[in-house]
Amino acid sequence: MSDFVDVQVINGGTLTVQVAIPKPLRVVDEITPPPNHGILQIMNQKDGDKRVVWDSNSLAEIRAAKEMFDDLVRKGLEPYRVGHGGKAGLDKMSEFDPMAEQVMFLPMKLAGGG
Amino acid sequence: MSPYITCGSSSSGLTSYQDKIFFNSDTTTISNKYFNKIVNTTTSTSLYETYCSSCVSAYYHDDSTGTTMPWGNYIKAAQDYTIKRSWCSEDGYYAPPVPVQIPLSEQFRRILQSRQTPLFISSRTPIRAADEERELRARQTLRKILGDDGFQRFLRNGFVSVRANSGKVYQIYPGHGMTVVYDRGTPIEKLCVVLRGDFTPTDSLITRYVMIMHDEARFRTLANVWSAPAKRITGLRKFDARPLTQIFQSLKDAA
Repeated sequence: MSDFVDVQVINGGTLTVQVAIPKPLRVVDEITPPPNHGILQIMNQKDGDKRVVWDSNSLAEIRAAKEMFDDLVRKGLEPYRVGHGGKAGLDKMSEFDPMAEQVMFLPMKLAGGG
Repeated sequence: MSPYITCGSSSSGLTSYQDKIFFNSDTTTISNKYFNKIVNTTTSTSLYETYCSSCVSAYYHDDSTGTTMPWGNYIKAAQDYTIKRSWCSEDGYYAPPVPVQIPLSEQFRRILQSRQTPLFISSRTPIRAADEERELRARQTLRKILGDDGFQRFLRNGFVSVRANSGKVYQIYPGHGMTVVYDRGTPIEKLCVVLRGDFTPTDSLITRYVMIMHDEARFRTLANVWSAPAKRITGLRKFDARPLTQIFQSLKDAA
């Protein structure tokens, strides 16, 4: 059975949907991925964030990571590339980049006036 | 007891001065009298006088008990007077107090030192240690986003500052803290945007930081707008703003 991430999709509500983590990918605790790996970091209420790594040398893992990337975007999360070439920073992504070191998904639709 | 104390007649331990009062149009016998101001550092007693347009009064004051005893009261209706002050030494000779001479180098060193300190201190609340795993993970993420220096500033100041495309600077606080907007250094408004749900304070900060950087208009649309906060600057310090060369020259001239 594959692991999954709880994603809150309705602003102000408690309803969450589960996004499956495809089988070749694995959940880690480290924020810095191993060499030649990328990390998908999904912000959520339960864990703070879920960190899923893929091997950028493995075609199967890249395909699985792209599948998960697209699934999360469909659920309304916005992807941002964190850091680039060892420097701090944050860039919005429009499509999956297998060479990205770290991709963070933020629940932007949950933001609202307080 | 006579109010007219001769300078230096008191016991050792006194520092005193003598005021000679000249009533400009006086025809009475109390013209050109002496009033002494005596501070006794050993017994904590002092004599002081008050002068007004209609009277001259002299009092003894005991600093240890806080009691004041009149020593004389002289009604002088609408009299003009002038006061000439003379300083006394303990041995009875008139001598003004000698000011402590600070060396020129020391004066200049103090000026340089005062210029190195910040002009003001604003109230900032450093971030406390994370008390749960989720918050710890959020801070790891923020560190990756801001870099080490930026993250250290966040821990020290308790907020993150970001300049948006409009040129305005947004000061973002963790959790449900208001976001303060600055335009050319002046706070102009407070915006309230929160991340709904049970997210950690730093996750909420990250979301707002990202939104301001990438979609400032959307952030402003979502926000509830409040008036600008009161200035938090405290302890504004005044200092001599002249060039150091000019200050040095004036110190040399005075020496």
